[in-house]
Amino acid sequence: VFQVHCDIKWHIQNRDSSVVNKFQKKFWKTKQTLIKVTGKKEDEHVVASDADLDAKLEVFHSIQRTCMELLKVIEQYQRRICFLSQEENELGRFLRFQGSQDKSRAGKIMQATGKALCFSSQQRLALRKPLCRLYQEIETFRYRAISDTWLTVNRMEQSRTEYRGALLWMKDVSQELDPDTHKQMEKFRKVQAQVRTTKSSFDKLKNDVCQKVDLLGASRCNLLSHILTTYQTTLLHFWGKTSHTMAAIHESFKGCQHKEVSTVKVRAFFHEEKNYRQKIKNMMIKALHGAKGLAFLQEQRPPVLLNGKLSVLYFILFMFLFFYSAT
Amino acid sequence: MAYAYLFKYIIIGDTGVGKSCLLLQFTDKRFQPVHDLTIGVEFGARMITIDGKQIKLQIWDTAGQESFRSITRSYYRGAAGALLVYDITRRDTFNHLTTWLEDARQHSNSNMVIMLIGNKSDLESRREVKKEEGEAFAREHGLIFMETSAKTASNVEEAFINTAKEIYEKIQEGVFDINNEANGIKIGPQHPTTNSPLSTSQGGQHAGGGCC
Repeated sequence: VFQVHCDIKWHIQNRDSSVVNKFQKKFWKTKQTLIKVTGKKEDEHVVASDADLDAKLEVFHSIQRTCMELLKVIEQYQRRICFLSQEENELGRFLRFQGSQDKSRAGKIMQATGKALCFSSQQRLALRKPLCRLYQEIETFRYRAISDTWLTVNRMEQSRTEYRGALLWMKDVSQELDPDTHKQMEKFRKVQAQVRTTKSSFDKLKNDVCQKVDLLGASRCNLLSHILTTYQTTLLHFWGKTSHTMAAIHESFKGCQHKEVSTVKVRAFFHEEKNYRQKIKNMMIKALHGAKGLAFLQEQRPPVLLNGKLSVLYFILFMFLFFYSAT
Repeated sequence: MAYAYLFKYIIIGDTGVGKSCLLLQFTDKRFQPVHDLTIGVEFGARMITIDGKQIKLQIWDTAGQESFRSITRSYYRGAAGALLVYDITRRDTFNHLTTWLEDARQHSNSNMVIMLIGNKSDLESRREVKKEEGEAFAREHGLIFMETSAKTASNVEEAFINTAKEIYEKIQEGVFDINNEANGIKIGPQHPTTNSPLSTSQGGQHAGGGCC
């Protein structure tokens, strides 16, 4: 009976102490969590000893952020390519139509240019394919690699809180420590064991995080360089093709319009426009003073912006822009 | 075992300089090439004889890792002697001495005897810090200096004992107030504190020793 009694007593004591122990662990962990959440200053040495880890976390967050940004940019870029292609196509069709109306040499040029523009607008869309691919790959990268690393980071943070909590506890019991006092030593050993276990799990996760972030960075570089090569090839191919077409047009109409449509003429055109606006303004003022002005206005119809003239201007501007950007 | 005095020692220095190995060599006369990382602090104790008196050294071997720095600071309190250890094959451990010294001076009593130790003297081929540099540093800061090897046990004994001698001399000179435990010195349990320390060699019943 005595034996049983002792056993029960021992059992209860043991259970009590394990409950107390559990409670204490929770207490220090919560304390650390509170310190972290409230942004209270943490032990500078403890923080400093995690400097390498924190630097890696910074890299991780930057990868996370820039991947998001890249996705947004790709989406926008793609949309703009579509818009540009549409506009280009419309301009091409416009030139072709206007060119067919104009029986002069300029009409032919416009038709050829319009055709080239329509071709270019179609070719431009080819860029969308590698971009789509890039988008998908990055999306997958985010869902798989980043979220996996994120899980590890979270686990590490949990373990870091536990470890730092244990350090707080150890600091607390270290205030009054005497190796010759059995009771204090017993308590210290308990805390030491807690620090040891939490430290080893934290160190392991810390290592995991550092390795994963390194790997993440490297694999993203790999991914980008791989897919951007396709994009680059497509882009160069597109540029090559269109510039070839444009150069051919330029070549075939060489000399003929050079004299007719020079920059001087363009300038003169603008000058005329400006003068005309000024004239209108003046006339409006005059018109306010009497019908005479109004008659004058009718008489002096401005040189109608001839379809041909306008188109030639378009053409020159476009060619100019094109060659400018191609070089 | 009976002792006339108990001196509290603390071993400090960067991680991996061989603090725990020095202690192990001193207390157990063993060398362990791979030692577990010290968590917080470990303890060791050994009896030595100075001037015919039994002196118990109670040694606190602190963790060198930076994350334990704030914790180990609370161990300085009440230490009579400190062994400040660096590794002669790692220049950075020597460069950090000033920080350690500042820390020690700030958190301990001003009379604490500090012994500077350049450990791993057996690794002569990998030496990065000259012996003269260690001596110069010790001279400049008023420390005792010694190069040791926890592996070959060279100078280990001497390092601990010389520190104890220095403390003992300071007691004789009356620098330490032995009745104040904050100085890291206790008088043997078999004597009332008012007793003269001279009569300590023969002890009655006592409860000394038992250190982890």
